[in-house]
Amino acid sequence: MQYVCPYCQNSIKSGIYCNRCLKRVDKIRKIWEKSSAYYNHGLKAAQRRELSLAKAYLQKATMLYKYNIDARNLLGLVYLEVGQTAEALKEWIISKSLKNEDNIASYYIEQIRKDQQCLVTYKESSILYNQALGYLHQGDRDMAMIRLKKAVSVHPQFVQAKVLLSLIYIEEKQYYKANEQIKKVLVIDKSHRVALSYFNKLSQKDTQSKEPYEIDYTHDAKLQPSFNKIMDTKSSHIKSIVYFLTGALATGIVGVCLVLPNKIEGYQNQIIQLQDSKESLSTQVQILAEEYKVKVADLENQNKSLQTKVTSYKEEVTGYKQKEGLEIAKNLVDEGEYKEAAKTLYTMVTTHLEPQEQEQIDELKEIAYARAIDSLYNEGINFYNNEEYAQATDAFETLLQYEPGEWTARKSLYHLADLYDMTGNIEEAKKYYNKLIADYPDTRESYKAQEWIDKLNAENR
Amino acid sequence: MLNFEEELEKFRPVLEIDQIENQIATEDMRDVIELIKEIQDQADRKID
Repeated sequence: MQYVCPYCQNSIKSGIYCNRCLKRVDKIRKIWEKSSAYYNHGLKAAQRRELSLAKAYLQKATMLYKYNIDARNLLGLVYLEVGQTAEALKEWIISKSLKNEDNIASYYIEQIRKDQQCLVTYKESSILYNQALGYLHQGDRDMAMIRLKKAVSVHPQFVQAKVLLSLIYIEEKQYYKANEQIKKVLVIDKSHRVALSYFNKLSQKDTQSKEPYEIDYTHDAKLQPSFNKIMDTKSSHIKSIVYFLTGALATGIVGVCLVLPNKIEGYQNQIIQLQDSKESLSTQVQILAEEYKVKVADLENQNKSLQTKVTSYKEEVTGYKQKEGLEIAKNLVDEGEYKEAAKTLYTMVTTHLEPQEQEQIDELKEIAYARAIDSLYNEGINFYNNEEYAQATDAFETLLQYEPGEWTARKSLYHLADLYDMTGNIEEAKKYYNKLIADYPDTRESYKAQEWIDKLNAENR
Repeated sequence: MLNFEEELEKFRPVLEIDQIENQIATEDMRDVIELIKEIQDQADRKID
């Protein structure tokens, strides 16, 4: 075997020094030789079909010295033989990468590459095996068994799958089938430790007779006709009907006796729950109603309180307005605007004024009214003389509001009646003439008023 | 007869075709000789 110097990668055939780097390689040579020895043992084990043993030796050989190409290539062959094609390819690829020229690994890889069926077969079986292992770890032996059966049928060389399948058979007490698988494994690999241990265990069991549950029914099985039983079609129809009716009756009885009571109980429980819910909801509604009543009462109280406040504020405002009116009236009187002052005072409400303020109002009225009456009377006369009858009417009517003295009142009433007469408003004229007669009898104005009324009556106007 | 769980532990998943490349890439390819060489180099560096 050719050795590679670990220091300079120079190939060495013999000697204790490397030819290139001149480093001592005598101790390393011992490892080389050990690796070679393992390879030899592995080769002999492989020749004896003790493939597990061969695998162990060859792995040690490559572990000691990775450039042991023969050991690596043989290890690949061993993997291939036990059905682990991927492991075999891996070893050959590594072998080729370590030594590219003059390496049989290239040939092996090429052969595998050409045989696509081999790769497909292994791919399928390896996936099935790994799935089965997963199922077993989850406790699903049935699914695992299905996968493994498929794996070994697709790839009969797959030793690991066979051994795992036999383990399941042993667990299922299908010793005949387990034994079948183990024997096939031991044909391929005589030194498979696990298979040997199972084989020893199985030797204590009956592996010759097949239990009924171990029989596989395949599509090849042919049904043998039984000549003893000839089918009577008529009676078979009747029997079918009878069986059907019996089954239906039995189902009905089971339903009534078992299913129905449970359903009824279930419905009763639901009714009870719903009633409880209803009571609970009623209670909640009552509580809410009480709460709302309390809230409504509280809000009503608040509303009353607020209304009281509003009323109070309004009265305050009214008071302020009336006081403001008083001030305005004072200012008007001070400024000599007696007509405006009288108008203000006439319309003023004094309900919220103090007594001294009431007195002030009265004093102002006395002053303003008197001056306003004079002014309005003079204006009325002027308007009358200028034939501005509407303005004259307004003036006289206004001054009459201010409670003028007798003379002014008489004159004003008379002028008003005369103005209405001149403007054709006979009813108003008559009203004022009558008032004049009533309020101020035995006066010149009342006599004139009477004359007018008499004349009116005579004319039937 | 057999402890199923114990026996199951002896089985490991197999390498699939698609995993070869990754396996080669991640495998530690050092052999014992290289390990000895590394130890020797470390020892030499310490002496220096």
